[in-house]
Amino acid sequence: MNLFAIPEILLTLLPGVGTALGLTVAALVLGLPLGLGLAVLARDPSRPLRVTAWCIIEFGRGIPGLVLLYLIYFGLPQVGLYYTAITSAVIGFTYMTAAYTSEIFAGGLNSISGNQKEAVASLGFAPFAAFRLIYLPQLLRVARGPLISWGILLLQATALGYAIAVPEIMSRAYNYAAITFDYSTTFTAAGAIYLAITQAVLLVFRVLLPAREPRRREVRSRHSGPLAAG
Amino acid sequence: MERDPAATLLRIENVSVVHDGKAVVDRVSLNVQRGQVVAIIGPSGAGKSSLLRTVNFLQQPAGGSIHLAGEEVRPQGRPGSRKYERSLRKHRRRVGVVFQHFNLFPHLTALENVVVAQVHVHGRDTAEAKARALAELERLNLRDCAGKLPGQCSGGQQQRIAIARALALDPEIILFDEPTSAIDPELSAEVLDALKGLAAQGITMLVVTHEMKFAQEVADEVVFMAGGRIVDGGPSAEFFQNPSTERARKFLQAVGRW
Ligand SMILES: Nc1ncnc2c1ncn2[C@@H]1O[C@H](COP(=O)(O)OP(=O)(O)OP(=O)(O)O)[C@@H](O)[C@H]1O
Ligand SMILES: [Mg+2]
Repeated sequence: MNLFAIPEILLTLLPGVGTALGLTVAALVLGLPLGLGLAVLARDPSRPLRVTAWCIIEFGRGIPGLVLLYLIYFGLPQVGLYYTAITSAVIGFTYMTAAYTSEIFAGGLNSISGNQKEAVASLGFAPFAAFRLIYLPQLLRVARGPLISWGILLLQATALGYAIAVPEIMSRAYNYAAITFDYSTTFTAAGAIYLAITQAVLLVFRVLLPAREPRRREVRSRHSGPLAAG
Repeated sequence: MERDPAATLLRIENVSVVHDGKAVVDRVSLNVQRGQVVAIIGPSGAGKSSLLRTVNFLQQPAGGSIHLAGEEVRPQGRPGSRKYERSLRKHRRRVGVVFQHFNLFPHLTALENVVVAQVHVHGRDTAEAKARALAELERLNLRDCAGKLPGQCSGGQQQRIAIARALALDPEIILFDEPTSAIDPELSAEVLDALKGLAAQGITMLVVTHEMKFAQEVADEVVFMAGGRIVDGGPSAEFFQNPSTERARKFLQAVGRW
């Protein structure tokens, strides 16, 4: 360990924090709706849709993230699809997010009781309104914890980006250490950075997704808020 | 007692329900007149709930037909399919249901429970829906509950919220399946009083109940079911005075009402 190298290492690695966080946010923003969609498709009355959803999910969960990134970055060009390292990483992590969180969403959907469905049916709700107003808020309560865990796993999984030269924390650390041979200090610093941003991100999640209902708001106007017209 | 057929709001005709190859409701016919309260009583397993649930097709009848205001309800498509559910939506909007276990939406306040279908199913303006919801909650003595989640209310309050939710949609008939069975006995009186109030206002109700006192005092007609069939019944005063069948007499004796 070379403590005097730490400032220089941090300066080298810190730009990677933005990349890691950016990849995480992009994969969550794109992947969570896809995961929810896959969970819904996986229980569609139509069998072909169900089978398709199942294949997409199992493929995404069955292939290691590293292999997936290689396939996208090195494999797709062979069929004429070229993506930059960053785009490839976004595609790969989005797919992983969709596949893994679809299971979380499916668990949430399963937790909704037959009683709720009977109430929804007897009130005459159309499917989309029922989903948005009744099922989704209940399912998010159940899914909250596992979704946060996935967000943290994903943040750490962005370290895989080093394998396709995405300039995130890990690849910067690798490059720095390869030049200075100071592996122990470099990777200790990298580990500390991940630890710090994991804690920071957890804090953000806890604020954005409070465990208990936020203070009840008034039923708001027809065109905004949870009770707005669909 | 014969009535003007034009006043028949709900006509259940020859309806059967089959579970596991067994007819748990066996070709039952039953009419409910507009403004009338009909109580369905009978032993456990008689098929009361199954029959009630066929009215809005929460239970698909294996045979027979349901007519509301003179028109047969004909669902389209395979039961459970999207087309089937869609074809029933209009009918279901005309029929209120109050469940044994309330089936309130746990993430919405009492007020929102009563507002949500008014706005998102019936297309009412939010302000109008909210005013209507508050009026219904008020009428059921639930002013203090309006801002609470169902989980923060007692069973009796929750069931009255469910009644308010149904009432606010102006249904032509409200179905009740043992509305007090899941409530502490000392709280069921407030729900029965609420039902009594609705009856006095001329709201048409079909009520499965184990509360004989309620059936006797509030219902106009009583239907006694056993083994999937209607075996006795009639105007409630007469029925409780003098049930015409041995089976009904035994049942009333067992529940201490005869
Ligand atoms: N989903 C189902 N699957 C199989 N059998 C069922 C189902 N629902 C009801 N049954 C059976 O049908 C019969 C009638 O049930 P139902 O619930 O209609 O009776 P009930 O008169 O409402 O009884 P209770 O007073 O106990 O509520 C019972 O024997 C019951 O076991
Ligand atoms: Mg029953």
